[in-house]
Amino acid sequence: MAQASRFNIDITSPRISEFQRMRRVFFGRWIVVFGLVIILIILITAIFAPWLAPHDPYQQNLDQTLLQPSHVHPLGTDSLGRDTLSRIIYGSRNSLMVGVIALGIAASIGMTMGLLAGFLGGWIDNLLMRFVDALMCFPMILLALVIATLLGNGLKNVMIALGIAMLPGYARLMCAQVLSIKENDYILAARSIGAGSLRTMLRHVLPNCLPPLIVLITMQIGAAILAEAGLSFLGVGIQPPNAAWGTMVSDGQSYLLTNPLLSAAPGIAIMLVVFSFNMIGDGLRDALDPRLRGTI
Amino acid sequence: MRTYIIRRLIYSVIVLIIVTLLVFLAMHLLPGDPILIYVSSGQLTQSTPEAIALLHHEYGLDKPVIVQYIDWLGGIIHGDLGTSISRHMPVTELIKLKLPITLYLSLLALLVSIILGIPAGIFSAIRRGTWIDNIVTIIANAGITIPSFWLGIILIYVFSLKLGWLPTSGYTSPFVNLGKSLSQAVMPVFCDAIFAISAFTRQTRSSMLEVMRQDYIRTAWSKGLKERIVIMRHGIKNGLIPVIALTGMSLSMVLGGSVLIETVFNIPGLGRLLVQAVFAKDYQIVQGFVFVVAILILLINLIVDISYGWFDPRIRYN
Repeated sequence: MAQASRFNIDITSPRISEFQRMRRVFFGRWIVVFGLVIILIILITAIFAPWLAPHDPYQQNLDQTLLQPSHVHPLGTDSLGRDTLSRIIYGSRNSLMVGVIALGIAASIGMTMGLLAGFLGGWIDNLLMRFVDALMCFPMILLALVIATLLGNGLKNVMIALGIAMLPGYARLMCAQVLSIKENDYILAARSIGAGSLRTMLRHVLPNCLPPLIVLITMQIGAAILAEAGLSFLGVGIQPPNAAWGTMVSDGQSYLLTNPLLSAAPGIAIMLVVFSFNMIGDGLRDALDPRLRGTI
Repeated sequence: MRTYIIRRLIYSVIVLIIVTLLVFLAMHLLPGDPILIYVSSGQLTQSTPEAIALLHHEYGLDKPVIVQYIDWLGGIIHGDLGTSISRHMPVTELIKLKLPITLYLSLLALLVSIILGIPAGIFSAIRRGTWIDNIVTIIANAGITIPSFWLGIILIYVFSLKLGWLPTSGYTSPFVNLGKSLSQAVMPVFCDAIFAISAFTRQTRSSMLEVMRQDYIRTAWSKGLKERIVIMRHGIKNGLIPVIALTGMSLSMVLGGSVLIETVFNIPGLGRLLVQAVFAKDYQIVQGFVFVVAILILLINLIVDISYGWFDPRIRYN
């Protein structure tokens, strides 16, 4: 009960359903709601970028380079005279897309590997998990950098590279989850009434493994966005003139003394998005499984 | 304990073999013929087909992939990681030259993250709910949010360009000029460590909170022990076990981060070498680098695992 009292909610009360309890916990912390609101706002600006951006993000104006902030250009212009605010707004499209799709790739492949390894055991487990262990020997950003180079530049390849680089965590967590869920009596019960391997795996084991994985996915969208920013900062991945926040930070570095905002502004955008996703992840973790609080 | 160590060693060797296989295969799937890139960059005066074929032969690129792999593996055992095509230098020499720089900064970063992160986490846990805890938690949450390369640029702006306290970039060996070396290292080390500092703080805080809830802590309190004794002797000892596991991961983080940080601060270490090699499509360097990093991480994980088994006997029998 010590867990529940932290949220000031009596989880044993019969009057509220499980879903209501989760909703209350999730929306109970203002910082989680703040994160959710920020993500919604950024999502809307990303979708409606052509209508919301004050200028064309690709339009170069060589007579209006490196302008300081003004009414016309709220965050100034870059070395090619492009409007910084508009480029940040367009950049949100890339960041969100990369974050979500890379995570989708990592989670789907990683979870499948973990499920197979944990459920089937034996040499399959050994093979898959040693492969994952080998991947874990490389720092994530390094692995992504090398894979992205291998595949060539472009948005799609960055997503694949990050997807592969991030999959070990999912494979491991999934495998550990399956191993513990498999020991439960209800799995034995399912087997004893004649459920086959596939049915047991997909209908009984898989759904019960999911809560911590859902939390990990939400928390790692931020990490994926951060890694993508790092790659585009190095010049790998999304290519100019396409707007990417990491590239903008890097471009601005040369004009730091006169126009610090050129580097600072896209960095703040990255932080805001990453922070918001992390907070939503925190909220989901508390809602789905209070025992995990403070552990992931 | 001995069987446990032997088992971990065998396991590490297996993983190492898979690592070599992955690194080798990955590099050979790279699009673009390195020799042609080398030729087109104007470093060769004669680009006749014969000269190109000769170069292919010289670098062993005309052999079957499996033979190239075995050659490469045999070379590694003799400390030979091949010759860099873009720099005309043995990769081992290049790594010997650059590794100390990256290792110096990375180990400093690891040290800083442990020195700052663990006490912050302990303090925050034992003062739970107070303003100290709130501030530490907010900073730790911000720390896993800040892009390290961006923080580097902002710090350069504030401390070098505006205040003029620290040099903007560069690297000096600590053996040549310790003062200068440290003043150049302050910002890169901090930026590289920021994520690890926060990770240590968060992990320490949560595992301390978990331990402080245990029955034996209540027993310690009820025996009338002083707060210092309860925390130091009963709390920290058990609370830090999960934190040990983070050390390996943190080294991985700071080594990975060196790629970004060395670019920002113009440090001639392995990270920058890798970025340059990636753009020059110089397989051999990338291969050698990735391999060396993997060995470092494998080694620290082995040490972590063994010390983990030492601290927590339950692990050994799993």
